[in-house]
Amino acid sequence: MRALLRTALAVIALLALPEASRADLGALVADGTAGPYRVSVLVAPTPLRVGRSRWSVLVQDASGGAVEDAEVTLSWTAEGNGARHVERAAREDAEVTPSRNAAGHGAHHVERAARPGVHPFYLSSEADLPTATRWRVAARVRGPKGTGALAFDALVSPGLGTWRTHWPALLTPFLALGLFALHQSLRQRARRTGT
Amino acid sequence: MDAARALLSSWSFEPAVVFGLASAAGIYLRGFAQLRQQLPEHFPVWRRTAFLAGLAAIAFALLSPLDGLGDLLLQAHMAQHWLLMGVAAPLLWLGAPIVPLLRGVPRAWLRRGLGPFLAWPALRRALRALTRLVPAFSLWALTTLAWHWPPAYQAALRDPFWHDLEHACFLAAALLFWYPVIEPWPARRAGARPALLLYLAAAAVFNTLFSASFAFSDRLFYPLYAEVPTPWSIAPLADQRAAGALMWVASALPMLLAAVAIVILMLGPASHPAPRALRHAAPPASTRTPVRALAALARSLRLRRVLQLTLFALAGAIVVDGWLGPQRPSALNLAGVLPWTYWRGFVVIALLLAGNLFCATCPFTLTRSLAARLLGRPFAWPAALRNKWPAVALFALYLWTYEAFALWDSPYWTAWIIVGYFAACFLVEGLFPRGSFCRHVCPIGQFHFVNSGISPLEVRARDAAVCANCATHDCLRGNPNGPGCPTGLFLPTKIGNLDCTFCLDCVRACPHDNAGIAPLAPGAALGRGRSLRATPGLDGAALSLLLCFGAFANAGAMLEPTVAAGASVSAWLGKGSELIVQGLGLLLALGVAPALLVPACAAAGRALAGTGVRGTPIRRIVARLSPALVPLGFSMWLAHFGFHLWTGIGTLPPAAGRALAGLGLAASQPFVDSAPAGALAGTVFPGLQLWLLGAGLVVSAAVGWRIARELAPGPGSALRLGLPWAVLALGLYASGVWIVLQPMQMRGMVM
Repeated sequence: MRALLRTALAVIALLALPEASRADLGALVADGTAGPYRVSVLVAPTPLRVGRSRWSVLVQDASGGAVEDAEVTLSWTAEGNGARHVERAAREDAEVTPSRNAAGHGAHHVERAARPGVHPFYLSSEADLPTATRWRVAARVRGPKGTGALAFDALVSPGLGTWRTHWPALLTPFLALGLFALHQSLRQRARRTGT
Repeated sequence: MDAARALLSSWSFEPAVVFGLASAAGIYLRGFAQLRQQLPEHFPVWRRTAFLAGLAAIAFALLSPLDGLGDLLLQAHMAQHWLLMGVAAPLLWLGAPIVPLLRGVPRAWLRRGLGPFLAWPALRRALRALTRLVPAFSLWALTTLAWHWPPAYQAALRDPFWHDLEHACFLAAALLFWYPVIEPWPARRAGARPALLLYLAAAAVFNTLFSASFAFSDRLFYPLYAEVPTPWSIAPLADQRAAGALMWVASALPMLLAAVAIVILMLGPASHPAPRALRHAAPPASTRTPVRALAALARSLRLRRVLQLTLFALAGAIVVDGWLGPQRPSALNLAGVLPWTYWRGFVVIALLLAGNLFCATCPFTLTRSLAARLLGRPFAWPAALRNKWPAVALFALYLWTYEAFALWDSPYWTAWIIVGYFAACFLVEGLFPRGSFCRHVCPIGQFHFVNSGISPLEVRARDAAVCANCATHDCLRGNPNGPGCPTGLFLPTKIGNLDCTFCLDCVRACPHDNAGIAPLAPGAALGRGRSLRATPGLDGAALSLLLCFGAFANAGAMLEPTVAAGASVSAWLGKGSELIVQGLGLLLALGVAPALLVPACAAAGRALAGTGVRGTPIRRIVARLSPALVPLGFSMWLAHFGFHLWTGIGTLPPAAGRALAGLGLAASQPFVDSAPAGALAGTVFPGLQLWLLGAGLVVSAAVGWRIARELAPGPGSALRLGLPWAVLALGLYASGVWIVLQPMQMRGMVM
C-alpha cells in the first residue's frame, strides 16, 4: 500500500513537472541579418514534416555574442490548400487560425513566442504544422538594440504516415506479449524441474 | 544573456530519465536499508554514497545543460559520454547494487515477475560469458567505435531516438566493461588480478589511439558541428581537438585509479568474503503514519456523506439547468458538460488509478434509508432476477438510448435520465432488500463492478485467521458502527472487486479492525468474482462481453465513416428510419457479434485443446473466459472518455458562468465558439490512446492465459484453448486501433 502510494505520488509529481524535455537541435534552416542582429534558426526533425516540430533561434550581436534579453516571436503562414484543411487544422490545433487572405484563399497562421529551452543561449518554440506545403516563417526579434525580422521559406514534407508515426505504441504490446510468453515458459520449466 | 543564466535555464526534465533514476534510487535505498541491518560488513555507507553518486552522474549527463551543449560542441558531448562511461558505470558497481536492487523490489514482484527470468539458465550463462574479460572489453571497444563512426554519430545528433539509443549503448557497454574490474558483491572472481591490470592497460591503449585520432586529425569528423551557430568563437576543428584531448585524459583517469586500487589489493590480505544466505526481512514500519491517516480519512463516514451530498447537489444543478437552461449549444449547459465530458472521464481514471470511487460516493443511494422508512421494503428480490441479466438489459438499453436520443447533445433528456435514475433507485431500495438496486439493476454500478477488475485496490480482510474465529460476521450483517455490506459480500470469501461499492461499510462494521483497503494486481481477480460460481452462469459473461463490445461500439459510433454509413443506409430506407438503423447497428455490434463470435471461440478452443477439455461444456468455457476481455474493453472506454475529458477540459467555466449569470450571481459572458485545449488532440492523443489499447490487450492476454490454465490440464492445451480467444482479442484491438486513428465526428459535443 505504501509502495503503491509512493509510486502514485512519484508519477503525479513527474506529470506536474515543467514541459521542458530533451530534444535535438536539428538542422540550420535560416541564418541572416534581422535589423541590428544576426539570427540563426534551426529546426528538428530533419527533414521537416507535418506534425510537431521544434524551432530553435540564436540571436547574436555584431560581435558574435549572444544577445541578452532578446525577445523572439516566430510565425508560420501557409497559403491555399482549400477550406477543408483550414477547418481541420483549426479543429485539431487551437493555435491554428483559419483565415482568408486578400485573394480569398484559405490560409493557416501560427504564432508563438520562443523561450529559453534545453540548449544554452538558444530560444525555442514548438509548432504543430498541419499541412505539407511551403510555409513562410518569420522570426521577429526585439532586443536592447532595436527590432528586426528574418523571413524565410520552409518546405514541410508530408507526415510519416500512421504506422511510421505510431510504431512504438503498436509494437510494444507485442513485445510485452513475447516477454510474457517467455516468462510463462520459464515458470513452467522451473515447475517441471522443481527449481 | 549571461552564461550563468543561460546554463541555469537549460536543465531539462525528461520524464523517462527522471522516473527511471528516481525508481532505481528508491528501490536501492529500500533494499540497502534492510541489507545493512543484516550484513553491515558488506554494506557500509560509502557503497550507498557511490551508487547515488552514479545515478547523479547519469542525471547530470542527461538532464543538465551539458546535454544541450553537446549539440553545439563536440567536447561537451564527449564530456557527457565520459560521465556515463567513466564515472557513472564504475560508481554504480561500487554500490554493489545487485542484491539491494533485488531486495528493494516488492517480494511478490520479485518471485512471480522477475524470478523466472533471474533463474533462467540461458540468461545467467549469457551474462556470465559477457562479463568475462575478453567479451566485456570487445563489446566496450566496438560500441565506442561504432557510435563514433560519422554516419552513426551524426544520426544521433539529428534524431532523439538514435541519441537516446547511443547513450543507452554507452552505459550498457561501460557497465559490462567495469563489472570484471570491480566485481560487485556477491560476484565471484572471473579473472586473476594481474589479468585485470592487463585488461585496463589494453583499454588505456585503445583509449589513447582513439582519442589521438581526434586530437591530431586535420579532417573534421562530424561536419554537423560546423553548421551549428554558437555564440563563442571556437572553430569546429579546434573543438574536435579539444574533445580528443578531453577523452584522452578524462577516460584514462578512472582506469588509472582502478589499476592503483588493484595493485593495493594485490599487496594486501584477501578481503572478499563469500556471500551467505539472506533472510527476507519486512521493511521497517516506522513511516506508516501518513498511510494510516489516509486510511482513516477514507473510512470516514462523514467524508463519504459530504462527497455524496456534493454529487447530489451537482446532480440537482444538472437537472435544473438541463430543463431550464439553453439546449443549443449543449456545451453551454451544465447537463451537456458535467456528465458527458467530466464525470465519465474522471470515473474511468479513478478506476484505473484506485478503484470504484464513484459507487463509494454515489448520490443515488443517499435516499436509501428514507425510501426504506417510507416504503418498508416489503418484498424480496425475485429469485429469477437474482443475477446480472436485468443489468445487462438496462445497460444495452442505455447504449441504445445514448445513440437514439443523442444524450451527449441533449441537456433536456440528460436531466430526465438523472431524475429517472433517482426515482428507480428510490423505488427499488424502498420496495426490495437493501442493495438490490446496486447489485441487480444499476447499469452504472455494473460498469464499475466489472471494470474495477483492473483497479489496483480492493477491500479485503487483513488476516483470514481472525475471520475464521469471528462468530458475528458484522461485516455482512452490520452493527451500530455500520450497516454491513449492501451487496451481501462476505469478506472472508470476497474475491476482487465484483459487486463491491467501495462504501467501506464492512470496514466500519468489523469489530476486529480486520478489514481494509489493500493493493491488488490489475486483472488478478477477473474471472474469480462472486458471480462466477463453481458452475458459472452466463450472466456475468454477458455483462463482461457487453461492456467490452459496447466500448468499441460506443467509440466507433462517433466516427465519420460510421456516421456516414448510417446516414447512407437511412437515406436508402427512407425518412424516419434513423432510429431503426441505429438500433440494428447496435444489435449487430452488441448482440449478434458476441453471440456468434464468443461461442465459436469457445467451441474452436475446446476442439483444439484436445481430450483434457473435451468434456467441458461450451457454456462453462464462455462463462470463464469472457471476463478476460474486460481489460481490453476498459482500455477502449478509457481512451474514448479520456479523449473527451482532455479536449473538453476547459468547457466547465463557460457553462458554469452562464448558469450563474442566469441566476443573477455573475455577469453574463458572450459565447465564443472555439475548440479549447485541442492542441494535443491531433498529434499526441492518438499515440496515448494506442498505448492504452496495447496495455489493455496485454492484460487481457495475461488474464485469459491464467483462466485457460485453470480450465485446461496442461500448458499446451491451455494455449490451444485460448488461441481463438486471442484472435478475437486481436480483432477487437485492431478495431480499436482503427477507431482511434480516425477523425472523431463530434456531433455537437464540444471537443
